[in-house]
Amino acid sequence: MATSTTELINYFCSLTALNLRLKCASLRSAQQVRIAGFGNSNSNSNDVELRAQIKAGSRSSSGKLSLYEAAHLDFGDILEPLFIMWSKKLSNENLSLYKSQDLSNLLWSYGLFGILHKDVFRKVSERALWKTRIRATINPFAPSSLGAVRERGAKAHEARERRGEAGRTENDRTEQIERKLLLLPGNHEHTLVVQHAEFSE
Amino acid sequence: MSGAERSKRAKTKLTRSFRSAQLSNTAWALVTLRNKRIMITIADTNSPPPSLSEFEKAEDENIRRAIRVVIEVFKPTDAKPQELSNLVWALASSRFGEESESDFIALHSLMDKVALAAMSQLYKFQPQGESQFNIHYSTPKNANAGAEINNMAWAFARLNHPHPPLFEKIAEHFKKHVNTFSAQDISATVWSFATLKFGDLGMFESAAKMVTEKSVQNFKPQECSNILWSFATMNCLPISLKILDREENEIAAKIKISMDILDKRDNNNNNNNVFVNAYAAIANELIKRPYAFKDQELKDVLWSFSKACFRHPTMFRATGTHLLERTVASFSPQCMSNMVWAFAKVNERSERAL
Repeated sequence: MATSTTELINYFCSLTALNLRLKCASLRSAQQVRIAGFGNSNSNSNDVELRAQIKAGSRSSSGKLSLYEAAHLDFGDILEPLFIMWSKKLSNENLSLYKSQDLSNLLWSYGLFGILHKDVFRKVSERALWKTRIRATINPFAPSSLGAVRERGAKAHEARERRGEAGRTENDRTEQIERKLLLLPGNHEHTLVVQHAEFSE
Repeated sequence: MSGAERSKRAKTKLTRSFRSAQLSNTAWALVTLRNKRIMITIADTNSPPPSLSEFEKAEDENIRRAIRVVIEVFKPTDAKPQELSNLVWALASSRFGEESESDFIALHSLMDKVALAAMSQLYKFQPQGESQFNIHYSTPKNANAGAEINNMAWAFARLNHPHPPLFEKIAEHFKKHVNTFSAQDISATVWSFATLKFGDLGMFESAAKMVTEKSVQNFKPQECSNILWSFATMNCLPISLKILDREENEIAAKIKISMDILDKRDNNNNNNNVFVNAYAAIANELIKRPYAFKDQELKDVLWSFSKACFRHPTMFRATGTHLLERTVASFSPQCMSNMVWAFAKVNERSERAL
């Protein structure tokens, strides 16, 4: 694998919360390993577009600040203790019990509020990467899952035959997905619209 | 005649001698006893289920065999409503058919027959509990009125066996006689409809009408959360709130034109507000007694509010404060994720509201 886990995690941790949201949502899609993966980027494409508009100067803000204002007006005083509490739980939790959607929802929520809790994100990143590597949450006892894998293998073989390409393996595909993740626009220059808090325990 | 054949004949004769009531009661009793054993064994719901002892495994197998015989012999056309509902309840609670394909086919084939039989005598069905809404109607007192319409709907939902004609009839019956339904009946029925994604707005409106600030005081937390979960799942909302659920640019284009029209329509049509009232009533109840709600019930209420785009800062603040005092160690992964999501989502809506 071209990129080590540590590098990827460091990369994750250096991103802004909004970018984290984008990456993690993409990871979820990648985990499902369909060629149409990154499907969840649909919802994030608006963010990307917004950022492009901001960059071009046609728009002054993505409006995310108003979200934080609303949140803090509504129950800002309990938001921080709540997230600290949840983060502590997640830090000590066995994440293998969490489904991909649970992890994605959690990170989405953290990202939405712009909360970066390094422990949580590191743990979830590790888990998400593990899921990406195995490419599918295959239950070895579920015939339907195995059937789907076989079917995918057969289709890949057919496609290879048609194109006459030499061996495009699942590993290649994973590497491609991970490479694609790393090549997604970083947009560090637009961090002004995102306020992210880093809790210290 | 060989010994095996004689034994088979005797067995058939014996089982045929059972009447419908006896068969359904047998299934009901066996499954109830088994459920009680499970409830005693799993005192702590958060711990993983313990492995079964040899005796328990044998007992479960015997129950499956008995249910297999009941399914084979039971004639839904001869059965009364109570017998039908007891039987389907037992079948749905027993998880029968999950391990064997032939059992699964036999079970679902019987469910179809039960649905047809129930449809022809639905007017005889009685709600399960005593209704606290019994103002205009008087529930006929029937000592044997155990035939429960909500059990019927619940069993079909639990077994994931949609039967649209039956559910249409149940919806009609529900709308006409909702006042005779207890909170448990209402919540179980709407939950079943929502689980099977069987949408009948009129039915959900009838249910929402029964959820008032006064009546909800007698609701159990599970009933409250199930009702809200069903409304949110079926997207039962006043039209004017739905506008917040659209794409941003669509709102920008239409909000000015639509809001006036929708406000007028809302004023003219009280049905749109029954959902708001139901949500508000349950939110008040949650604020009053959050400690009474279990983890999952809390999660369901918060999730429903966020899913339905209802902003209720007071409720979210009260629940958040309560959560800080409560131990979250017992929260399941799904519970945890949905709760965090609910807090975030409701604020995404806040942004639009601003």
